[in-house]
Amino acid sequence: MRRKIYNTLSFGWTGSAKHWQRWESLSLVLAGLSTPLVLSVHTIVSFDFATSVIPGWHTTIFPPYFVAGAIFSGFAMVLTLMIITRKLLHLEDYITVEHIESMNKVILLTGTIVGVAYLTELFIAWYSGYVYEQFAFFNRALGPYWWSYFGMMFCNVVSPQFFWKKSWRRNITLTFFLSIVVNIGMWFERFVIIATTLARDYLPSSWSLYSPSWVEIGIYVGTFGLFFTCYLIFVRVAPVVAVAEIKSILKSAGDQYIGDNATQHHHHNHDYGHTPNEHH
Amino acid sequence: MENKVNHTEVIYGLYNDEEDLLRAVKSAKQDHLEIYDVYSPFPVHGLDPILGLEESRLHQAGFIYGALGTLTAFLGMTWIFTKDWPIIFGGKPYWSVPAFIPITFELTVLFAAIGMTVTFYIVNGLGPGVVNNHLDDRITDDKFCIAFDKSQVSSEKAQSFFKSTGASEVNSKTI
Repeated sequence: MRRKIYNTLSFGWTGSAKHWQRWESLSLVLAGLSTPLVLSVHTIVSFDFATSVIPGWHTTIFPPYFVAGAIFSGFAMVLTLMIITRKLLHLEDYITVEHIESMNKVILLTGTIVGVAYLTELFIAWYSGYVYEQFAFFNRALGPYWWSYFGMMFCNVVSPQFFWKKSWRRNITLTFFLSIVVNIGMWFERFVIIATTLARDYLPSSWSLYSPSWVEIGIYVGTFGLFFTCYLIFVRVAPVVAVAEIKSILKSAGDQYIGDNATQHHHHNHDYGHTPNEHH
Repeated sequence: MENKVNHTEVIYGLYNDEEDLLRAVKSAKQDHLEIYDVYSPFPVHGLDPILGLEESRLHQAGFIYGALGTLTAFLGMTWIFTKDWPIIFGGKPYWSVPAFIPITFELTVLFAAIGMTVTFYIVNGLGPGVVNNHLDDRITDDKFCIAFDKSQVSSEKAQSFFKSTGASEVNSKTI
């Protein structure tokens, strides 16, 4: 049964040289197309807010701010899941501390960009001289939802600054903890943008505080359920690392191999790509 | 490479290392032995030029699909917003090009990605449920394989070639 399923899913792959060549061509183009797609998707998500006429939403900084926030929270979410998966599936040799450190650098960079965006928003609100915009931001930071603004600032801007220190970037426990803090921070960011803004709109008579209905709580919990169902099925039945790609960089021999038996394997008198001092 | 003829008798040798494979392919070219196909568990870099494979035209196909997506989106929106159902948004002209950019970009990506992927499977003869005969299961694990068509290269020639290039195993199969 299992054999049959994997057989079907293998699509009849043979590993022919021409197929690999086309595969590389396809993956290169797909990667090239997906990269600008990240910018496009998050820019347009932010347009949903920015094209409205609600103070606090109607800002031109939203596209870059959302793109940075998406990369920031995306890396944090991946770290949260990856650190657990790496531990449980014993992938320490494939997902190394170097990878985690590099991801933490991205988190530090994008978290700081997000921080600059928050401060820029405040500055522009003040500098615009537009009272509604000023009120929207005054209300965000010091209104009834001050705690969510503080939480957002602390989790998204202050907490990634720990990653300036190399030994902390390489500390897996700290990384795991901070990745969750960042996830919470990004949740606060959305709460700040949506709930605090809508709680205090143009008409004081329609002001009210937000409380989630059971439907909203259900959807929230349900998204977790949906996501983790898919994720756990993926982890359970699919190869969690792209094995062919790992093999292509795990050299067992050859000029680029630098492991234990590097010198043992150079008895062949090959005539391409070698360095002059390689033959012993 | 994607020979659809079902009965090709091949003789193939398995190598333990990609460097051995590259050397063997090179010497086969020097000896003018016509290689039927080369199989590997991952893309071996530097193999294509030695094997004499032309560069894949898949990315050209991708460009054409992408251009088709651009045109579909742009001309489609142009027709909808100027001829079919003109609506004024915020006092802007009907033909508001900047507002078309996101959808144009997205349809370009969609057409190129789906078009290329489908083309990839079709030209490779792959797809859900397709079963291709493979020479050896270990080719998807850690063995590298050179196969000769027996009608092109005699068994003796192939045997001595595999021996001299250090193949770990030589077998015959009809695929």
